[in-house]
Amino acid sequence: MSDALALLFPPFLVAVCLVGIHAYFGIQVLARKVIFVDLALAQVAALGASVAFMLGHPAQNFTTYGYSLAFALLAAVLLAFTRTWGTRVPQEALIGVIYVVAAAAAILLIDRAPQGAEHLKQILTGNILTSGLGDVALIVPLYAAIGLLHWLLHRQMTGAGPLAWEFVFYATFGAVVTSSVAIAGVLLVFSFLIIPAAIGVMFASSLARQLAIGWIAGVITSAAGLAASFALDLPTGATMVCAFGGVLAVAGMFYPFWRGEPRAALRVAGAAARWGVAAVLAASALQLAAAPRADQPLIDLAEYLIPPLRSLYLSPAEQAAFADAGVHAERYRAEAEQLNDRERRTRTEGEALDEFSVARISSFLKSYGEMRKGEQFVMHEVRARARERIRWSAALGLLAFALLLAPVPWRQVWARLR
Amino acid sequence: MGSNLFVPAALGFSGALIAGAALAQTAPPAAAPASPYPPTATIANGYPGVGPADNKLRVTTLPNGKKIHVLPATLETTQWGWFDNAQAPVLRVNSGDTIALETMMHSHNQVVPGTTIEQIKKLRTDFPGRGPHTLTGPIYIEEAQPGDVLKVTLNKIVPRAYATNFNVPGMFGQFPSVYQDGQVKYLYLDLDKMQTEFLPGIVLPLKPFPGTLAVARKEPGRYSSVPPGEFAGNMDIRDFVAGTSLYVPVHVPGALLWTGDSHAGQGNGEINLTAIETAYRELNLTVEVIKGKPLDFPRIETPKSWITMGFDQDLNNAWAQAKAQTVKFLAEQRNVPADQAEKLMAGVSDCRVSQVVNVKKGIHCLNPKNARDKEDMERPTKETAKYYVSHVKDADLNKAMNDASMGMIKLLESEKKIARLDAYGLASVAMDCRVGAVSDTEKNVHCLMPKSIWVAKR
Repeated sequence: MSDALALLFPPFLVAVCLVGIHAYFGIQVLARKVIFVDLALAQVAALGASVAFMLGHPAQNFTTYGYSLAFALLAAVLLAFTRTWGTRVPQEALIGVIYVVAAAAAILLIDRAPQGAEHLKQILTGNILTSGLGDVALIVPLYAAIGLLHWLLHRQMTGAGPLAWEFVFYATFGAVVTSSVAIAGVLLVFSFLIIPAAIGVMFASSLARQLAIGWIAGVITSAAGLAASFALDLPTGATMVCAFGGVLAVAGMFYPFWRGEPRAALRVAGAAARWGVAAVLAASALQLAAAPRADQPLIDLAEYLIPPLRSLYLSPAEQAAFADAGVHAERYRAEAEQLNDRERRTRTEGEALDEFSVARISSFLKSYGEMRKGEQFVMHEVRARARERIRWSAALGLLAFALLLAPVPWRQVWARLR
Repeated sequence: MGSNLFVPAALGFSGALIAGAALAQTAPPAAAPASPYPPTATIANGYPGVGPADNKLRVTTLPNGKKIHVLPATLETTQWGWFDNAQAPVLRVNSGDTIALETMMHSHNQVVPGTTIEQIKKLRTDFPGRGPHTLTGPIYIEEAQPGDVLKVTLNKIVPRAYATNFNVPGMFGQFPSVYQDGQVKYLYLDLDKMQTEFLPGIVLPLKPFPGTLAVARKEPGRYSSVPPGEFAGNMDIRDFVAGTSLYVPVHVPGALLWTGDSHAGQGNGEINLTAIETAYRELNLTVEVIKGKPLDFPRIETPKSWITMGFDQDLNNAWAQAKAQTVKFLAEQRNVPADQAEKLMAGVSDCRVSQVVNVKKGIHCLNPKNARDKEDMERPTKETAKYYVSHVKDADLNKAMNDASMGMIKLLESEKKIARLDAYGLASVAMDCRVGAVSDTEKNVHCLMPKSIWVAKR
């Protein structure tokens, strides 16, 4: 546990700092209704980093940061002017254009570079897990200075004043985003910006309360996301983004209850759930009727959870073939696992196998893999053929079930029909 | 969970083989007894390594005194790509015994998107001479000595329910330079109807046969499992199905029998390198040692015919060998001089191109057992009611075979609108290339594709 804490505590501190400043900027962009300005700024900063990368500068380097910041400031100028252009064309449209052009330019730049794909992934998801106290030492003064500046100039930063103040807003925002994208990547920075702010705005009206709620939600979600990525051995940035998405969904569901209309909320939630399930059932019915051999996620899931369901539509011979293939697929998996284990043990505990034996084991592993794939193919084929046979009756049954579940006022419908 | 499932699987396999093997015997079968030995299909108890015969292998005795041995395919009981007469046997049996054995697939994992031809070549060049086959064996037959003949009768063949057909991009097969792209196709084998749907609306009958059944060579050392020879080996003769027997000369004490390259069906030619490649749940065979009747080259006995064969890197030479073997057989069978047997051959013997992809190409000839009969001598030169036909004549049999095969592929592409790699594969698994009239100046190859495989789409 102490190792986990030692690993996760520095990135957690970084996340706290990022949540601190981004939640504030998030509330500002929500108020200005320029939600995707962060993505645009982050992508332009990433374009600057890509230019530096192509010029041979390392990813985490002062020169690279300079390129990113310069590009972000240029974008800030553009963004400040989009407010005036936005009289006929919505400002969000122009922001979107800046984002896609910056993203496309970055792809063009690094398309032929070695490790280009890895660089793109790094831009998107960052690598917050490897950030440390050094990063905290760098960003805290910057964020503190920008926070102080905004507190001092809060009357001018309303988004309705002269363009110069608008430029100051976007420039400072750009400076924050440039540093945070280098640490956490475009996706996570957008989550830090919008989701805590959205939760704050949902449950409070004053800036102070919005900030407090956003900070608490952001910090708790960051901790949960980091812990989940560690426990489940998942990519940290992507896990945290999903955690933020989940928290927003929970907040959204909780919101009607908080507003003091629990019965209405429950009624709406129940109806939504029934419509949702009915829609999934109906879609599955259509999918089964139209393409019985294609993937049937709902039926697959049901059979995975309740295997005896298969006996409803597989003939005894098909059941036997399915079961036999399943047993053999497992047998080949176990054989391959044993071979891998043997090779590992000889390598680490005893005398290493000679080259021929290793190659022989490798050949067997391939054969076992192939045979397992073959058995899985048989399982799939047996099931697909049986589903093809029962497609119409099963689809009708699913449709009927969907209609029963859907919250349709059947009596009224019937009365009108009569 | 895994090992819990695995042990019953192994037990189930062995039990099924014992039961199947017993049923395949003509003598009243003994009830499959509970084996006193632990299951050997599992490797959960550790790896004894490749070594002498594993005394844990299962065996049961029939009332007639003969034995049935069960030989699962594991790391310990299979060989990889080589024939080596110094290989320690994995099972010892007596003449007259039956073996119910399991076989494995050989991997085609090299045919994956993104793998370059250089990588594929490296896979081969890293282990020069190695074949791709996983072979179950060797089995030592106690009475077999050099000079004897080993008769191997295929009692029953039960494939697993899946198979593959593939071509390696830019390598192997009849047309590696034409097909720089590869394809793997998985096939579900309907073992009740004994058929498989190769493409929508194209259903092939299943006729399982072991592509490879071999005894050890005379020469010491490791030899690739790919080329066939006087030791039989990778013959890929599609008529070698259940109910037939191979007669093969023994070269070393114990004969040392291997099998693998398990097919569920194949075209005569096997032109894209592969047949309907599968693994056998059970290959049930009986071995008998025949003494005092020496044989210089393998032969196969079917219920109605004797099959003679010839192998060589040059198809012309393979034909010459097959012809020599056939003439010799007919002269013995009908007690006629060689020149008369040669004339007879043209009228009664049905010679077909077994395969052209095993380094040594193969031709086999079916010869009627009944001296008054003749084999199927149909050699159409154009489409008939039963067949699509591609016919080419040339002084070089290799060129005639190449052109006739490619002619059929093109016909499938243009007339039947089959995609090029699918056409290559279909020709490999269903085309029947027959040798027609042969003279010094003109050799005819007739490649036939049965129209019966086209059925209404489901």
